[in-house]
Amino acid sequence: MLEVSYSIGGFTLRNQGRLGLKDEEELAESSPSSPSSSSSSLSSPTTTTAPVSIPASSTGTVVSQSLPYYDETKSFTERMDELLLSSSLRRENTLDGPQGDVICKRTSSISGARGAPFIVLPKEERFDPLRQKPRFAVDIGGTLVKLVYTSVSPPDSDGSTDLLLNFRKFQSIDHCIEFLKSSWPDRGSECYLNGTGGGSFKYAELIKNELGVAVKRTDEMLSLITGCDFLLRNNEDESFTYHHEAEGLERYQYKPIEEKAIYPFLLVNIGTGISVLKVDSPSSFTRVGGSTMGGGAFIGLGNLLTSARSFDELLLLAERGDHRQVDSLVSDIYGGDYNHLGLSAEVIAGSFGKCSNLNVRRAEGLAENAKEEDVAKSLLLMISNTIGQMAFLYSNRFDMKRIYFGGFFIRKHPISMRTLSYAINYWSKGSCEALFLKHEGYLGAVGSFLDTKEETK
Amino acid sequence: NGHLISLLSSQIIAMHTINELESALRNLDAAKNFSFDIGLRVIKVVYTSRIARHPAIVSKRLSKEGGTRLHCIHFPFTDLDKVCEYIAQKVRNLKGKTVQFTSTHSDSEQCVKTIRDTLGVTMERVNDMTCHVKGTNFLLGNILDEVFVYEHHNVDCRYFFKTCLHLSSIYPYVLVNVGTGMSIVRVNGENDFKYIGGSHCGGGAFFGLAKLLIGSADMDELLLMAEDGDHRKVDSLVCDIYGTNYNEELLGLPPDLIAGSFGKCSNTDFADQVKNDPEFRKDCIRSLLLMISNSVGQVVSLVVSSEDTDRLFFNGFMVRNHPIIMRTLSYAVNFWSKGSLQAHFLRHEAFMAAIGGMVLGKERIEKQGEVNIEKVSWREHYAGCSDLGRFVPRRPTDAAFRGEVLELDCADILMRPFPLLSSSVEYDPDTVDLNKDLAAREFWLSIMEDSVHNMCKKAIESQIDSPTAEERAHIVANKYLEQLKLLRDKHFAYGTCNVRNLLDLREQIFQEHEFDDPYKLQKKLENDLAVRELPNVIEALDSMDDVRERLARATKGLLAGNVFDWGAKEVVKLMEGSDQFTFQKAIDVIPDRPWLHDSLDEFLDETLAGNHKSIVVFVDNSGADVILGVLPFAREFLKLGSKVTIVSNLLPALNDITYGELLKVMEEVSEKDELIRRNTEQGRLKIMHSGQGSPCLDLRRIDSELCELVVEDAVDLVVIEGMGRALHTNFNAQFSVPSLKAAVIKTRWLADRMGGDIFSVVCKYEKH
Repeated sequence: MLEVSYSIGGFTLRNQGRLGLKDEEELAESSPSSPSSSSSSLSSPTTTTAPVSIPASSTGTVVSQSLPYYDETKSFTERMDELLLSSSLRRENTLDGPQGDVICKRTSSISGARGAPFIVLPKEERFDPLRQKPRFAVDIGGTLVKLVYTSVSPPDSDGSTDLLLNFRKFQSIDHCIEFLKSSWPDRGSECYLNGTGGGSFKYAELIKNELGVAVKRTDEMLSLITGCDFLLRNNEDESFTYHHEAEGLERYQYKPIEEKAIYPFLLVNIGTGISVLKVDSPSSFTRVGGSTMGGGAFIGLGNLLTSARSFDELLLLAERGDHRQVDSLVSDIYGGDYNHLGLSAEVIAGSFGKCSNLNVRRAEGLAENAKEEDVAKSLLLMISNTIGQMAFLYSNRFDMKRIYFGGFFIRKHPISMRTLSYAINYWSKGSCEALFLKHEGYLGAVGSFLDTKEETK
Repeated sequence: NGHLISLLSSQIIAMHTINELESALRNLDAAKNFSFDIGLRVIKVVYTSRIARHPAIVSKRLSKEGGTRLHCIHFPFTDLDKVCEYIAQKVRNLKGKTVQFTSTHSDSEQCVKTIRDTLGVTMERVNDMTCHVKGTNFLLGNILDEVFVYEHHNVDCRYFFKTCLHLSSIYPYVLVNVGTGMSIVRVNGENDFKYIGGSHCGGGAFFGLAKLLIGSADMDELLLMAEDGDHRKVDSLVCDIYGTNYNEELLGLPPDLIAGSFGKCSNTDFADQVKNDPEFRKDCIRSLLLMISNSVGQVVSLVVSSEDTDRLFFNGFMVRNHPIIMRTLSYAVNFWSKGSLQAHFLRHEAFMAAIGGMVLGKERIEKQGEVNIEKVSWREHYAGCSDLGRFVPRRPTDAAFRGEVLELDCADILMRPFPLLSSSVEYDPDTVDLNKDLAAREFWLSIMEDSVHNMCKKAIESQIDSPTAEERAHIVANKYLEQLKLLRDKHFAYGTCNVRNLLDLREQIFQEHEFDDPYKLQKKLENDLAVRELPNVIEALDSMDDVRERLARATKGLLAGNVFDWGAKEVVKLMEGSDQFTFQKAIDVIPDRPWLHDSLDEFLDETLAGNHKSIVVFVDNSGADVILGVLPFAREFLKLGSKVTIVSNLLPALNDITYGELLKVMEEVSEKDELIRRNTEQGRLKIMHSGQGSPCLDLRRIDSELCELVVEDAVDLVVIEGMGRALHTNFNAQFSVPSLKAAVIKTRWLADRMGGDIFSVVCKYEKH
C-alpha cells in the first residue's frame, strides 16, 4: 500500500489518519495573526472555530452515523475540499482593493453545528418561505452528487436566527437519497427536488419512486452561471487566490469584489476537457473556447504511464516528482539562461524532451530511467501550464481582468492550484491572477436551488 | 503491420559510401562560409562554392572568377564523423576559419568538438532566433513557391504554393518554430523581430510521451501509427460526455469533437486494458498527436489573433515534411481562429537556421569582392537538388532523413519585380497551373519526354569535338526522364508544376553536364543568315509610304519571325524539311485576319496617336525572330521618335537569343543600317537583359538595372513576344501601362485549347 504523507497549508494529513492536534494548534495560531482578519470588521467572527469542526469525532453532531459526513475512507482531496469549504479565508492585505465598498450583507461560509459547511443566505424576501419549508437542490454528475439545502440556524443570544444554505457531497445517488429521506421528513407529493446535471435525467424516475417527489430540472450551463453569480455576490470570501509561499490557510486569500465589478469574467472549467466561458452577466455567457488537453488527459495519460490508480494518487506522485529529470530545460539546450529571450535556465523548453531519447549518441537511454513520479510531475506541469497560458490568452483577447478556474482538476487541490497560479502569473507577467471559487463544485446545485420558476410539465 | 514498419525502416539509409558523400557534398574544393545547424537527429551544413562561369554570359557586373553556389545538406546525426572527415579532406584553407553554428540539441558540446577538431576551425555559436529570421527571409526572398498551404481535402493537389519574393510586402509576419518546444516570433523587418510567445508542449512532448507510452520514438513508426490509429477509442468525445440527450445547437459543438484527450483512459480498468493490448498503441499515438497539434494550433491562434497580420509560417522538425502533422496543425489553426488564420509552411525550412547562420557569419566578415548574400538574388538549382532537398512530400512512413541536398545559384545581380506590373503581389506568371490541370500536365510531361532526344542530338552536335559528349547527353536524357517520371507521381516537387519550371529544369540538367549551350551553332548560323536577309526586309518596309500600313506590316513581320522556333515540334518539321524555310514563307504561314486574338487596329490607333513614346520589347528566338521580326518592328517605333529597349535573356535557353549574342548581332546590324546605328549612339535604342535564362519570362525577378531603366525612361508600352513569354507565361499579366502580347501558336495542343488552329495568331493589345 502506498504510504503517503502530504503537507499542505500547515496540515499534515496521512491517507489513513486525519487532522492532528498539532495542526489544529498551528491553525489556531495562524488565524489571529492575520493582519486583515483582526483589523477588518468584515471578516467572519467565527474564523478560529472553523476547521476544528471538521472531524466527526470532535465537536458538532453528525447527522447520520451510518453516513458519516467525515468519512475515514474519503480521499485526501475530498477532505481537503471539505476543510477549505468549512474555513473562513484570510482577507488579502491589499491597498488597491475596493475595500470601502463592500456590502455588509455578505457573509462568510463556515461550518455549522450540524457538521456540513454552509453559508448564511441574505435576508431577502424570496428566501422567507424557506424558513417554514426547506428547499433541496441536487447536481447529479458522473461521479459525485452535490446537494444544497436550507436550514434555520439555532437562535443567537438575541434570539434571531439565520437562514443557512448547506453543502453536501455524496459518492452515489443512493447515499444522497438516503440522506434526503432522513433530513427531509415533511416532503409531500406537491414538493419537488430541483436538479441539474446529466443524472437529473437519468435518476428522475428513481427519485420519484424513492422520495415521492418530482425532479424539477434546470439548465446545466445556466445553473452554473446563476450559482456562480449568487455566490460571488453574497459570499464574501467566495473567490480566492492561492499563495504557495505562505503557510497554512494563509495560502488561501480572498479579496472582496464590488458587486458591480463582478462582470465580465472568464470561467475556465477543467473537467475531462476544458471549456472557457466568457460571462458578461448572470444571464449571458458565451463559450469562447476550450481544449482537449485537460483533466482527462492528465488522468488518462497518468493511468497509462504510472502505477497510480486514482487522481489523488497521481497528484501525490506529482508532488514528489522532479520534472527536470524528464523535461528539456533551457539550460539543457543553451547551457544556461537564454538571455536573448529573457528565459532563465530553469524554464522548461520542452516537456518530456529528455524522454524521447532521440539523441542516439547518448548511451544511457534516459527514457528507460524515467521515474513515474517525475513523469507525473512533468505531465501535470505540461497540462496546467498550457491551460494557464490558454486561459490568459483568452482573457487578454477579451480584455478580462479576472479568470476563475473550476472543475475537478482544480477541486481544491493545492498542487494544481499552485501550477495554474504560477502559469497565469508567468504568462501575464504578473498582471493577472488565477482565481478559484470556494464552492466551485456546488455552482450548478446552487443555481438549480435558486430557480423558482414553476415547472413546465 | 509490424512487418511493414520494419520494411520501411530499412529505407532509412545513411550516407554509407564515399559515392553518397560525393553526390551530396559537392564542389568542396573552393568551399567556404560553412555553417552548421545541430538538430536532434539531423545536422544541417551549409557552404558556398565557386562554379565555372557560363562562357556565354556577358556582363560587366559579373565576377570573372565564376559563379557562386550555395549548398545546403542535411544528414543523419550519426554521420557527423564521416561528413566532417570528408570535408576536412576535400576543402583547402579551412584551418583557422570561423564556422557558425546553432543548436537545439541538448548534447551539442560533443558535436561542436567533433566539428572543431576535425576541421581545425573556430566554432562560433550564433543566436538561433536571429538565424531563423535571417534564414526564413532568405528562403522567402529567393525561392519561388517557397511557401505552401496544406489542403488535405483538395483532390487536385494538397499543396497550394505561394511566392513571397517581395519581402517588404509580407512584413510583419509570424514565425512559429515547433521543435522540442514551440516558439512564436513576430518579424517586422529585416533585422527587427520579437518573441511574442511560446510553449513547452511541442515535438519533445510528442516523442517523449510516445516513447513512454509505446517504447519507441521512431518518427516513421509513430507517424504511420498515427495515420492508422483511431483516437476515438481512447479520447472522450462530446457525445460520450453528454450522452444521447446532447443538444448540438445549445453548445454548438459537433458530437464527434474531442472533449478530452485520453479521457476514456481515466477509467483505470480501461487504462489497464489499453496498457496491455498492443492494438491500442496506434490509437494512443493518434490521440497524442491530435492533442499536441491542437494545443499548438490553439496557442498560436490565440497569440497571433492580437497581432495585425495573418501571415503565419510554421517550421521546425515537428512539421517538416509530415503531411499528417501539417494536416492537424492546419486544421487546428483554422478551427481556433474561426478561419481567419491559415497555417503556411516552407518547402526548405529545414535549412533555415543553417542558412541564417551563414548570413550572420558573412555579415561579420564583410569582405571586399565577396558576394553579399542578402544583396543579390539566388535561384533554386533544381538539377543539383535531391528529392527531399527540393521538397518531395512523402507519406509519413518514409519520411526518412537521408542526406538531402538543396542547391541555389547566385544570380550575382539583384532581381526585382518588374515595376510596370499593375500588382507585383497578385502577379502570377504562369498561365496554366499544372498542379491543378491534369490534362495539361499529362500533355506537357509527354511533350518534354519526347523532346529530350532531339535536344540531346543538338547538344552532341554542339560539342562534336568532345569525346564525352555522347555519354553525357545520355546521362542528361536519363536524368531528365527520371525527373519527369517523378513529376508524374509527385507533380508538386518543384512547388507549382508549370511549363516554365519544366523547361528550366531541362536547361539546368544540360548545363550541369557541361552542355552550356546546345543550340550555340544553330543560333550562330541563323543569326548570320538573318543579318544578311535584314536589308531586304527593311527595304520592303521603308518603301511603303503609309505609316499605318507600314506599322501593320512590321507587326505582322514580328509575328512571322516568331514562327521560327526550335522549341516547337511542328516548326522543327518545317525547318528540317528539304525546302529552305524562308522569312517570306513564314509570313505566308500567318493566317488572314481576324486573328484568334486580334486587337491590331487598336494597337495601331494608339501608337499613331503618339501614346507610345518609350517601349520595351522582350524578345524570344535567335535568327529570323529577333533580327527580321523584332528589329524592323523596333525601327518603326524609332522612326516615330519613340525610345526602344530590347530585352533578351542573360543565360542561354533553347535557341533564345542571349544578351551576348544580341550585342554582337547589333554591332553587325549597325554597320549595315544607319537608322539603328544612329539611334544606338544617341541612346534611343538600348539592349538590355532580363537576368534570366529561360524560354519563359518571370516578371517577379527582373534584373534591377532594367527595372530602374524602365522607370527612368518612362516606358509606356510593354511588348512581349513568343509562346514561352506571352502565352505559357504572362498571357494574363496586367500592367500599369499598355501592353502588346504577340505570338504564333505553334503546338497543336495549345491551339486546340485556345480554340484556334496551328499557326493561329495572338496579337493581344491591352490599354491597362
